[in-house]
Order: sequence, then structure tokens, then C-alpha cells
Amino acid sequence: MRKTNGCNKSGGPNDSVVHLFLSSKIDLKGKNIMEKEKIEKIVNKHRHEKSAILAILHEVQAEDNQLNTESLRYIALLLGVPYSNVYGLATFYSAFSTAKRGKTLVRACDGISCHINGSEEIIEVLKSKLNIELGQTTWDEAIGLEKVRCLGLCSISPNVSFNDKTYSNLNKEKIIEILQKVTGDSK
Amino acid sequence: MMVQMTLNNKEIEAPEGLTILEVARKQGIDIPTLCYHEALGPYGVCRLCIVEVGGALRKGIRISCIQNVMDGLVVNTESERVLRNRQFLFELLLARSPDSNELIDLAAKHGVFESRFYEADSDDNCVRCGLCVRVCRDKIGAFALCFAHRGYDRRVTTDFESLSEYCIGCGTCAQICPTGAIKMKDEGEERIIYTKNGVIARFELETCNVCGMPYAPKKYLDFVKRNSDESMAVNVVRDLCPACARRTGAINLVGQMTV
Repeated sequence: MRKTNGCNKSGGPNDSVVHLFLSSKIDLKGKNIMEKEKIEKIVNKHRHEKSAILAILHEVQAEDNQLNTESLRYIALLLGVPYSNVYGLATFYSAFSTAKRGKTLVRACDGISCHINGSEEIIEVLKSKLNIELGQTTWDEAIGLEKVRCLGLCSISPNVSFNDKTYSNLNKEKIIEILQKVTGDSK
Repeated sequence: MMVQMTLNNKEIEAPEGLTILEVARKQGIDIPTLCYHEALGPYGVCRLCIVEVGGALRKGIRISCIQNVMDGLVVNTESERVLRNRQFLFELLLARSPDSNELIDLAAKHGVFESRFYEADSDDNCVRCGLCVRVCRDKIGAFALCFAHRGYDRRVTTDFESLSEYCIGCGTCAQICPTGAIKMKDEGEERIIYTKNGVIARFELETCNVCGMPYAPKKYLDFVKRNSDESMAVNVVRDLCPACARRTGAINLVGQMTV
């Protein structure tokens, strides 16, 4: 059987040394967050292993489109790691977001190749069509817009990715067409 | 075990297991550092302690706070290559923390007065050496501080950037901070630990049993009690302020000696 590092199988919060000095326990009632059970299920899937924290954060982020304070606290309690570690991780990686992200995340590449091939124009089109700035989400929480450095597709630049699907060789007309298709689908 | 090595063209003998930085400082050679502290293990983030090595190691630039000394090592701490590289590092650090007077002074001492790089919009006087985070994590074991965000946004903060629930109010972070970015003050019966960006923690202070002076937060005393043996002196004088504890300790000692 695989060795686990002091995990508790019950699924309840891990009462390890780091959490002994907490003045208050978290209250998840009445907060607009993921249900406790969903987080517990994900943490249980990874056998309460501290080393799996990034995988857990990825799954919670995918489930909820955000890693808010309460979710992060609950994950920390379940794994028995300090809040500060979890917060440091969640803010370090751009794959995670502590604010609510749109259902569809539009990542417009602005790396060197894409920039030379006119990504600026495409980003302007996206901004004006969605009526949001970079890093923001539309009012109905459907689409979020982000600028990224490189998607690794420089030879067919400029690129924009919608969640996992990437569109290449774009120009002004193409991006408007794609955007209409995507917004039509998601509504 | 001693090793034979060359330090700045001088043959010296050094004890095995020490780092180049420790040996050089013992020899009275000045190597600037930001992230090094005797109490903490090697970290190697500020890179200012670079030296040129050769001989037993492949010739090149190494960080002296991590590299151990070895037999036949040739170290040069003041070669032109080291100075040039260090000036470049100072420029990078100045771009990161352009508001820190301590860093500006240290850079000026090494002949760097301005940075050619884009300067961060920072006004918290922090140089991101990480000493406070490491001492809180590794030595105290409180885990109150962490680094959050990255790149130009990287900063020392508490969990979720609110009042820390882990902080015990010991003030080690304020004491170890080389630039004074973290401050601690006792105001009346309240202790506040704060940075320019916000308050890390607030505590009610417990009063001394003898003189009635407020002296330490309850959480801190509980922490000390939990982590210390029953037989230790700290438990005998638990509810006394440092001055009264010293007096009581002296009386106890002298009393025992005379009786």
C-alpha cells in the first residue's frame, strides 16, 4: 500500500500543529462558494497528500472558476498546511485566480511573434466587443479576458485561446466571427 | 578536518563544512549580503555574495553563501568580473526596490547610483530578502508571513492579506528586518505589528504580576509555555515582565547560593 504522509482518512479537517493557534474556525455558511463536500471529494481523491496541493488547487479552480478565501482556508485545514502557504501558491501562479473568473477565459497572446503579427489590434477588438478591460470579466460572468505572454504557437501567430481551444492565424474579421460564435454558444 | 584553499591570493586553512562566505567573513573580507543571516540556513536569493571560484571547482561565478569550501579551492572575492556582476545585481535590486534607503546606501558603497531598468512602483521600503518569512516559518514555527503574488507585485504579506490568525506577536520579523519595513510598537495595552501596506496583527498585552506593566500578548506566552519544558526557567517566571523576571531570577539564584 502506498505510504501517505500522516493523512487522516476520515475527511475531516486535519488537526495538525500549524492550526493549533487559530483563534477562529472558518464558517462556510451563507457564503457564495463551492460546497464543502466538493472540496472534500477532491482532497480525498488525492489522499490528503500535501504534495498534491497544486493538483487540488487546479481541480477546485476548474470546478468553481475561482479560489476564494473560504475555499483556500478549507483546503488548508483539510491538508494541515498553513493558510499562508496556500495563499502564496494561489497568488503565485497565473493559472489560479482569487477573484471569480468567467466561464470562458479568453487568453490573447501578446508574445513577440503575435505582437509583430498584430495582436494589439486583436486585443483592442476583443476589449471593445466584450466591453471589458484586460483582467476583467463581463457582467454576466460568462467571459474573462487576459493577456498572456506566449502560447507556444509562434509560427501560426497571432493566437487567441478560448479555454482549451486555440484559434490561430487571426485577423480582425476572423476574431469577430469567432467571438460571435462563442458568445452565441455560451448564452 | 581542515581544507587548504586560496582566498584572494592568500593560502589559508579553513574548517570543512563552512561556506565561502563564512570563511571570508572570518578573514575580515567584506562581502555584501541581503538575504544571509547567521540564525537561518542558506537561501541564496539576493545573489549579492557572488565570488569567482576556480581550482577544485570549474572556473566561474558562484554564490558564496551556499558554496561550501573544499580542498584546493581558489576564491577571488574582488576580481573585476565579480565587481561588474555585482553592480549589475545592484541595478536589478534597485529596480525592484527603488525606495529602500538601506539598499540605496549599500549600492552607493559599491559604486551604483542608478538603475537602467524599469523601476517598480514600490513604497514599502521592503527589499524582498525574505528574512521575516523564513524566520517566522523556520525558527518560530508560526507561519504568519508569506510571499504573495509574483514579479513586480511580489510582497511580504499575511495569509489572505488580512490580520494574521497565526501571528503570536513575538516581533521577531520586526527585529530581523534589515530595512525596518516591518515595525512593532506597544501602545498602552496594545501591541501592533505593521507594515506600510497594513497591519499584520494586533494584541492585547498581559500585565506583569509584580509591577503591573503591560509586557507581552497572551498568545505569545501560551506559545512559549507550549514549546518549553516544565522545568525550564521560563515557566517559573511566566507571569512577570522581563525586568521583574530578571530580579526574581537573581533573588532565586542568590538565595539558593546563600542557603
